Amino acid sequence: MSLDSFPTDTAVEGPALPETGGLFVLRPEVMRHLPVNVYEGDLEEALEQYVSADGREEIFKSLVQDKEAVASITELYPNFDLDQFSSDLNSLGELLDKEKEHYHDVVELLKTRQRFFEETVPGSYSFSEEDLASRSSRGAEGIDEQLRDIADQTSESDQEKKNMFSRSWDSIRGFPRNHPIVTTLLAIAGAAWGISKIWGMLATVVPVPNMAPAVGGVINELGGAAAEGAMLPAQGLGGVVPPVGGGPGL
Amino acid sequence: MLNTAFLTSQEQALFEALPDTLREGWKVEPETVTHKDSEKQKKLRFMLFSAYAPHLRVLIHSLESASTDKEMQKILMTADLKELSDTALAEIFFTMGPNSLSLFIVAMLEQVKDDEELERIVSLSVIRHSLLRSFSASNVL
Repeated sequence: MSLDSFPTDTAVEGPALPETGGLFVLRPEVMRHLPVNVYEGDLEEALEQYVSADGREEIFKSLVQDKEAVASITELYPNFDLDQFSSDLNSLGELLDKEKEHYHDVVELLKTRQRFFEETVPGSYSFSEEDLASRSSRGAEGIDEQLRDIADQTSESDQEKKNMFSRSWDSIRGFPRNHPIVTTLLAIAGAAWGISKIWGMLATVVPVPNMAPAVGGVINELGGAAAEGAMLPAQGLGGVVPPVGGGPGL
Repeated sequence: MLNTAFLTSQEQALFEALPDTLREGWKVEPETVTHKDSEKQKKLRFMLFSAYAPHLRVLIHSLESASTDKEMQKILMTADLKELSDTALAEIFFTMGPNSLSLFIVAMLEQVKDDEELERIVSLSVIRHSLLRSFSASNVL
């Protein structure tokens, strides 16, 4: 796609990026490669740029010119497509522009997400300076190594808190593999990713009858959000959620 | 070892009903933070979900590439959290939100049998406590 053909019309229709649910541009690992990152600095200022058509065009041009950034995103998402990305950018802008409320909501949720991650996974927001592709090539070991480096630099009280969450994650990793919460957590991840069938089969794969009400409760609690937030077809949810229309589901 | 759970009054009652031998050594702090999760907030969390963490991506891609329902069920049934990083787990729990987590905490308290299971409940309550504090610090969505 040439820079001249960047679609500035905010009423963009079309499919989401095929392998992902939600707004691709808002994914932290994608956002890190853009010149304006809503996860860093002044969030409201950053989102104002996404509301503006000119601002989005600047962001898009900058990404197109940054070959390394495009390569890094493509490494993570092999079917990454600039045309679809520009649509996604415009979808975000349209939604933010349409109702100021959405703009405020996105800012608030990003802040919430940041607070939770900073407390439970210290250092998870300290990766921004490192190239994502490089980290990806180092894999889990590279990430663990960096987390250890960050841990070494934290104060004693921070360390105590970090240890508490670290032990919590370790304990959760110890759940037996067919435990209903493991099945449910993975189903949530799959649904958020856009795998439409997963809610429909969740109720049938829970092996512990006593836990079925909890799983059913989660399906009811999150089914609607899964359908709209991840733009899933309603039929994939076994009738748990009402049908939703096309387009981005903010 | 973790030994302090953050439990709601309903959960505290379930905990108190456990045998003394099982409760021994565990502490309970009242979970006083509440949060009403809105549909909009849940929807946005699904939109924000990220599968950057390598092992999470592998799991999701295997689900995505399952060609039959049976295959997908098998993956769901045999998946293991052992390989997932803290970040990957945090990502899923953030998407899940505190209310869904509460459903599991109650269900597990109703059938807990040993210290290992109790420690997992405590861990879930610690994560929920952080979620609740993070969410309650937000302006209304």
